[in-house]
Amino acid sequence: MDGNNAFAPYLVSKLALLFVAVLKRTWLASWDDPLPLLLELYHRSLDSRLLILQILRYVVEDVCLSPEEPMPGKRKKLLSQMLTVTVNSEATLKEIYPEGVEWLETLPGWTKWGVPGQVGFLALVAGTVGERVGEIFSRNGEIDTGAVREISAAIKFLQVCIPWGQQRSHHPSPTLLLPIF
Amino acid sequence: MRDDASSWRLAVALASRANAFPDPVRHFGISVLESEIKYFWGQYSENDLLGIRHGLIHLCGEVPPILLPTIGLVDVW
Repeated sequence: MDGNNAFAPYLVSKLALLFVAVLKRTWLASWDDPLPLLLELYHRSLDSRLLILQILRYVVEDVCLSPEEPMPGKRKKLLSQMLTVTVNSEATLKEIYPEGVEWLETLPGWTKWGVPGQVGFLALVAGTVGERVGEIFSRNGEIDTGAVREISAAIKFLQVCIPWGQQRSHHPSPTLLLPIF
Repeated sequence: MRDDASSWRLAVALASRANAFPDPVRHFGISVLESEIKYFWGQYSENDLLGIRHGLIHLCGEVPPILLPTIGLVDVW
């Protein structure tokens, strides 16, 4: 694939690994809040959304699911807590942390339960899956390869969240609100 | 490259879409940058670390902006 036109899938994967390597070393250290960038890229294009889904998957795998991953214990705990905040909604976080997480308030614009009104990446990604599946059904099964790549990446991310994510939600999943079937 | 403290700049340049290198060269640039981060992170100055982060953001920003259909369900993060 020519470097001028599109982003080859293996470049997206490699860029995701690079992003995770930086994120693990800087998040909440020299880089307080990478979430606006992650969100901007999530909404930007199909390739950048695939990039963000891979970044989130790799970082969850490294921080929460790989005991052998070399990382200081304190940092691992901090990042694990931050990932919980990142993927959940404000309402769910109020259930998980009734007293809130005090140090979150030190981040600009944040409260003890994350960004006011946040829905979290779990709901965001679940919404994406619902939308794409809904589109496929509305086109009488005509399948767009981009949508399939997106659904596949989204499901892989949701899959790694199952072993460690909170198994309760304050609100019904947005996916269930869509008239898919 | 190891003897040059600013070798990460060369890696970012190799990886950058703007320089129109073939994909394998860009992949090599990203790999070099990844190795630098994994094995030599502690040897870089604060300015270089900030530069590496900005380089990374630059590379991510080069992902082509093809407009997506809006999600509609969620407009607040």
